[in-house]
Amino acid sequence: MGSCVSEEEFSNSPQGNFDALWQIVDEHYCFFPDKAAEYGLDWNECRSRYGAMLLPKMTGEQLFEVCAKMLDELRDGHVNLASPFNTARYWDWHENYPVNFSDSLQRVYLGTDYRLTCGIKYCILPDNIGYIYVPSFEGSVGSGNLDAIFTYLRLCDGLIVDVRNNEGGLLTMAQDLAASFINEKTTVGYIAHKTGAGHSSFSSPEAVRLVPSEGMRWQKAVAVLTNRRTYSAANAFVAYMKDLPNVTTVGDRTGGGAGLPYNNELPNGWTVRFSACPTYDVHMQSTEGGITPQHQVSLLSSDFARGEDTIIEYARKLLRK
Amino acid sequence: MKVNAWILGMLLLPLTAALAQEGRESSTMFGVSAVSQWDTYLSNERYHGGGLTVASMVSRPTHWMDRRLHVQHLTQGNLALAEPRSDKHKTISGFFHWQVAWQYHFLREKGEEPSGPWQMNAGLGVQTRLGFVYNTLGGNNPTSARAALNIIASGQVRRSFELWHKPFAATLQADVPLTGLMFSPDYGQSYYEIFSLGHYSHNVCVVNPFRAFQANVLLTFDCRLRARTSLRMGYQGQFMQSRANGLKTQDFYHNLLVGFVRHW
Repeated sequence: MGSCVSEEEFSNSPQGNFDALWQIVDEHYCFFPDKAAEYGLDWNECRSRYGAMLLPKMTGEQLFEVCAKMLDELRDGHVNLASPFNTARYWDWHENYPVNFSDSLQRVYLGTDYRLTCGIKYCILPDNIGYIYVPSFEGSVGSGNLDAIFTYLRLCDGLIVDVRNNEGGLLTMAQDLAASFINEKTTVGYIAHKTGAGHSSFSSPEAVRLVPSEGMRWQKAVAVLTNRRTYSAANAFVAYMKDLPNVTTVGDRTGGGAGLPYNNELPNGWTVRFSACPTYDVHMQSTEGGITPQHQVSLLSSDFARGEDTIIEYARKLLRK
Repeated sequence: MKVNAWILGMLLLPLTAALAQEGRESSTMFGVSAVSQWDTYLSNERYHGGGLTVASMVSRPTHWMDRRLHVQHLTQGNLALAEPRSDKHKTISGFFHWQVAWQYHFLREKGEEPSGPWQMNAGLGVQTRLGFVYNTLGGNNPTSARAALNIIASGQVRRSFELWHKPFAATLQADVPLTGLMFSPDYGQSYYEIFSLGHYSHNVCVVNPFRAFQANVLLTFDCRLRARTSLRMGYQGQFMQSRANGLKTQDFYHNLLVGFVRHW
């Protein structure tokens, strides 16, 4: 066949798997320009440096270690290498920072008779502030579920939306929740994608527009609580919310994760995950490195000892003003 | 006005064919497939596996060109399961394929049975293809959709012969897309952008055989069992590939088919 579509296939050897991994990331990873500007990442240099560690008869575990170290250079929580015996990950974005969240403290606020729908926990605090905890954006939340939540909280004076320790999930669920806080079609960010293998080959960023929820919409003040484990789709939710009127953000900087992750595979079957589509906030700023809250607040050990969550208390005070 | 009459005539061709039952041939075939798939949107690895297929083919003369112009419909579905060399992941794929072609029968006396053992037909047609390839790798790129609308060249050669005092026929058919349109995501574009946000980016691409040659080849042997019924066995090669937006796809199906033909 004269115009048969074909491409070089890498061998299932340490060198072949290493080359396949390097090339997949080289051609598809979306944050090379940002990482080069931020800390001088040179992906070609990484290939030379880590490629020199390869041996023809090295074990799978040894190859995995070399590949994992090379991927660590990307400093990206959306980058993983999964083998049957281990999953390489970069978790410095939260492991190097205070947790700023305690489920023991949260239990003090939620009690045991809190309401629960689609994984979302909610209750009314004694000072008539509504509290919603969204632990994950995995799954989906229907308009009926959101209606039920906001109907229950409708007489509250303010609302806390806690997305601490929410490591993401589906952008569509983040959008569905954010759509309950807008009254008109609103641009909340931008998204682009790669148009070719070049490190700077990107489409023009296009607007992410939210359509207001057809159900009940929240009109009063909102505080969104964040910490370093607010990541990926939860980071996107904070990006959508932070510039809306009546919304303030409280807590620690989010973990980031502003690239939509894709999966690919190596000849030996290991799965590689990487950021493929960059997203931006409404000011066209990348949130890959996280979002600094308007009110930077940390959990204090003295408050912890009293059974108080410093960040929730700070948000309550803001909402009562 | 003349153009309008011509367009109306083309639209009415299948209808005129429906009215012309004599010389009609319809077949239904079932088969097993050996499948080779490659889609760089999903994975850099090639996948190999097997599947099932069912195909229906109807050919009948029209009243046009002294009944030498036949219309042929091919409707086919494929389902397949494939794995890469590591056997760690899987693709599940499904295709629906429909085409209609108008073929001129060269060696045929005015609408009658063929005058000799040979038949040669050739013409043009329209082909549509819809499908998907789902990869268990997951991520935000788990599925690749296929959609294409092509103008095709379609040709057929048939040789009739006798074996063990029974009438046999060997038929070779080839359909080659000449040009058309196909759907493809952009190089790194997510389906979330396309379907959830409504962002489009060169998603309709022009197909031509020089960028990626495609073909459907069907070789069948018919053994007449009764006056109006034949047993049909055959091989079909479906070679579908594309090169668009920096992405490469290949869906090669080798099908072994068996079925029956009904003659009118």
